[in-house]
Amino acid sequence: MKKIRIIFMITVISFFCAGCSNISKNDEAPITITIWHVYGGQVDSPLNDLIDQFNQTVGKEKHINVQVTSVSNTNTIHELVLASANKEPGAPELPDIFISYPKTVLALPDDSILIDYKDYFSDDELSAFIPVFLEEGIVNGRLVVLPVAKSTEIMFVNKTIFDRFSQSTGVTMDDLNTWEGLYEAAEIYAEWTDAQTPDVFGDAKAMFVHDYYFNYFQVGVESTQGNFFDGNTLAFDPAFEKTWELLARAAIKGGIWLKGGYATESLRTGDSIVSVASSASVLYYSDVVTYPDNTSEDITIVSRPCPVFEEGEKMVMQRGAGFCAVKSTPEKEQASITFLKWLVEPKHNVEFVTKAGYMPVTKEAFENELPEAIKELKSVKYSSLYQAYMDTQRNYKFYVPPQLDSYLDIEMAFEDNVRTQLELGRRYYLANNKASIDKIISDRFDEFKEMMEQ
Amino acid sequence: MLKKLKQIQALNALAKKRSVGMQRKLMLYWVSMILVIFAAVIFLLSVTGIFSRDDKQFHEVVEVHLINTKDRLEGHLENLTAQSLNLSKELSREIEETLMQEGISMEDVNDDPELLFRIQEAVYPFVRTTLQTADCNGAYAILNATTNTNLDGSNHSRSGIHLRYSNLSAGQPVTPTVVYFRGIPDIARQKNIELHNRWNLEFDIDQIPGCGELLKTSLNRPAEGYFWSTRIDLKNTWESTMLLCVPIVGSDGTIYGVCGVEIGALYFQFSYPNTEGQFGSAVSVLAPIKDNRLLLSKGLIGNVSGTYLDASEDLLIHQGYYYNEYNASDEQYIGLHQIISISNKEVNDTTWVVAILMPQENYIIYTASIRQTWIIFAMILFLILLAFSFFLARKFVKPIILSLKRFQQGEITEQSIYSGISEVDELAEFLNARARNQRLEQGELPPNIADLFDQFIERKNSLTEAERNILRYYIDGYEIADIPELAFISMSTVRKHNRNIYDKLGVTSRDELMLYIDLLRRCDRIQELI
Amino acid sequence: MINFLSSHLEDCSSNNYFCFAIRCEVCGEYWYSSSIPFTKALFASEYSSKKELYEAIYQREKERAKMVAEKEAREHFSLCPICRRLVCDSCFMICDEMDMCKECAYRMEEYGESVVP
Repeated sequence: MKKIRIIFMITVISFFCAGCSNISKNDEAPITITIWHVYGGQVDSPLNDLIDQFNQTVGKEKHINVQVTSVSNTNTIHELVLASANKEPGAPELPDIFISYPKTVLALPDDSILIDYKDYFSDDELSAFIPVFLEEGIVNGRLVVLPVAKSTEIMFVNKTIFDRFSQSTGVTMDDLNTWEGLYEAAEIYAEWTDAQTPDVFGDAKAMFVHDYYFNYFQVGVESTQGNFFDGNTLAFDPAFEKTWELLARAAIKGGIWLKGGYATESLRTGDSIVSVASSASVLYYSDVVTYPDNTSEDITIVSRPCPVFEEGEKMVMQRGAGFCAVKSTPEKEQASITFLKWLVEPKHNVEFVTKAGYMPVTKEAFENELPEAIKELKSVKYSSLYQAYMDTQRNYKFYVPPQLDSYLDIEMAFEDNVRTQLELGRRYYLANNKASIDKIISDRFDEFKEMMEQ
Repeated sequence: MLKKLKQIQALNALAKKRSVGMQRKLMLYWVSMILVIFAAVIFLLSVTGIFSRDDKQFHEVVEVHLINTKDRLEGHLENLTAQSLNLSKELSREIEETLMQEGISMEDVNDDPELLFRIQEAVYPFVRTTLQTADCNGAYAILNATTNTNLDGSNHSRSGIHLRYSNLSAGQPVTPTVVYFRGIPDIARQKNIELHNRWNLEFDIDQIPGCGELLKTSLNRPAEGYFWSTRIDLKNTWESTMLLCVPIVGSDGTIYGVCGVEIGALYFQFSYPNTEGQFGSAVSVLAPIKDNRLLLSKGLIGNVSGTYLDASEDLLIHQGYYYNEYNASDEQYIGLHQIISISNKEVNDTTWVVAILMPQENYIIYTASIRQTWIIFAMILFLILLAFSFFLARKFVKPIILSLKRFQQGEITEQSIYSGISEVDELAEFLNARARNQRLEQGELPPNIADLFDQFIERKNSLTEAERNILRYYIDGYEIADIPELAFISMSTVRKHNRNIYDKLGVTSRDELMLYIDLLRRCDRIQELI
Repeated sequence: MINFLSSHLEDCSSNNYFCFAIRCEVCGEYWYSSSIPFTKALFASEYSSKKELYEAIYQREKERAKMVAEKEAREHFSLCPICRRLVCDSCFMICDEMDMCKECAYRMEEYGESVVP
């Protein structure tokens, strides 16, 4: 009789189970978090690849879907963040995570909209980071900018053309180690290129382009015992004048690229062959130069440490923004943190930074993962970059710009004015039939100073 | 189902083989009755469409969504087409003017960077205006000429300008950053716009399906030959885009080039946000359909928040009654699609569809929650009915069992056997009667009769010798009338004796006395009486 | 018993009625049977010519009446098993061991109850 009862129960239960079988698979819809970042710009983004990897693995497991809604540059993101934080009409909604320098946080009307990472990371987890990198992200006592990748300024050289130039003029790569040497080489390069088409007047080509002349001046002045800033304004001390004089002379002689845009652009079109830019821009340097007649030339880009002044200290700008996470629902915040923690795990961090031309941010990644990863690098562009990194790290002092509210405004005005004044100088110089260069230099400086002091 | 049927059969067979308790058997009948009614109810419900109500509702929701999206998309694309046709006409006029000034044909522009620069300079403002006024993220103009015909691949390299927005974000940016993707860099510097990180001087028309063919044809009006390309990856970038290709037609019918706008994957994603509804996240899709496959890799997908929809996958379509299923490699989507005509002259006869897709999982969860309530309700009802049938069966069987128990314990008297069920009572009575007869047949006395006899014999002892003498005559079979003759006593004496004997033996008549005597004789106990 | 009774029956019939009597040997009381009329009593007196015939009928009816009387007497007389006398119900005692006449019972000190008080 018992058997019958059991069979009966099984039958009844199996009836119910047939109906219930689908319920047990009770998945949730993924939490989507949005991100604005700068890694990759308009080219294949290494971070996007990593985000895909995250979405396919941990994301799927924990129902998190990270979506990139803007890849741009820090300045654009700065503007967008401020616009949306101030709720300006037409401004987009703030993403869950965005890339930012502390300066953006300082400019925010209310920085309490950002997550303090100390609430989400344990002390142990924070101690894994390289301390200097963390310190940079602390604003008003709260850790709001999480370092994910750090960079510095590096000199990139189009070796193929430089070698050609070197062969006919005797200028060597080592001459580029100092600013003095570099500017001299730039003048020689201008003459050399001008001489190639004797029938065209003043068609000298620029050798050098700096991404941020503002950085050049800042590091230059600071490394030669001067003071760049005086409170919230510029000091214009003698060290500045000397820095100006060197750059202006080369620029007026046509050796410096002064038109707008990033350093990568003029190297791409062959309009310049040496640049100083963020190490991260390695991603944007193309291995091809395309000339106006649509002919292309394959080139090799090599990286070298940033030039220094002969009498100055070996100093270089520390760069690289971090991630800010915006407060929202606890689930979304947790999802953002999950993603960021995944991204700073040494393995993923190194995978990301070596593709993007950055330095990792944790001690473990630096000590264990990075050297291994460098061995794997095949491209000269990247291996020489990490060579230059190591060189820089060993011999240079890192300069971290002060956190000023007006930093960005000064930077933008400075950049515009430097280029305008030097371009004007070049034009006057050509119009003056290449005479009275010293006067032009000092005139432009005065003009520049006046513009900046307005 | 077959398995279950077999189980029931096995159960039935087992039940037949064994003698099943009445209550259990009754239960079984009740339960089969309940199951039959249940099946009938479920059948009725499914016939009346109660169970497909969700599917129907889903169909309605998605259909409305699809129609709205299609309307919006048609309007959007039509607008872009109109603007591009306008651009084409303007560019045609500009180019024609420049060519007339020079007194040359389009072919002569090849290998002339100067002239190309002039044409591009003339073209630039129109492209820029189109980019700014049209609802798109890029505008371009390709000229049917190249800077250097001596180069390898010059047959698919064409000069032109391509402007794109670089800082796309959810809202239409008020001051979008325009980057210079293709074209002569001097123009970019002149207009102070950034070169794209993957800038190139010229277009590679092989990258744009159908573009090369378009340049080779001859048309009267641009509207005769415009089309949307499938989604192409922009070389060396992470972006992909769909280009509207409108021919720039000269007054003599030659094709000067191709111009149009682009809708990038990211731009489409922002323009067509997903909608969260009761059934989950609905994603808008514009994609070509081929061999029963929805080619997401060649189309555009709206915001995919809340799903894992991958833009690089092609989905296999299973047509359904209420909705279609779209199978990716590891995810299933459900939704609807409708054919949309977006081009005038399709390349390779591409059929475009607008589709609304939702993750099937969400829908399953949604319907499962409803089904769960159904099942719980049915289960509760079933349990109640089960309990009810148990109660009824018990109530029915209880008196039977009770009588049976009493039967077994031998407490049977004619009255106590009453069970309230006539058949059972009859059975009990029948059994009783049979038992009685059986005992009598075997010479065995019913216990009370034996008692009666014992008492009778006991009482006999109180008779006097004289009375016993009379009794003996009776035992010997004599009648009352015979007694005076035999015993030499008067009839009155006999009567008096009789009275005494009857009193003492507790009988009322001679018949009764004779019955006793007869019975005792039958029971071989007559000796005890003498 | 009947033979015994008939020997004790005393004929006290007339020409018109038949009647018999028994005398209790204990108390000496007579018991009379119910008288039965002679059916041809009238004819016998009138038709002396048929005297023999009626005589015969008379005898036959008397025999029959005697049998009836015997039967009737059986109701009331018992034979004492001790003294072997014919006694009436009033003198016959129902005793424990055995029924007997009054006198025997008295003599043997047996207690009993007479059939008719």
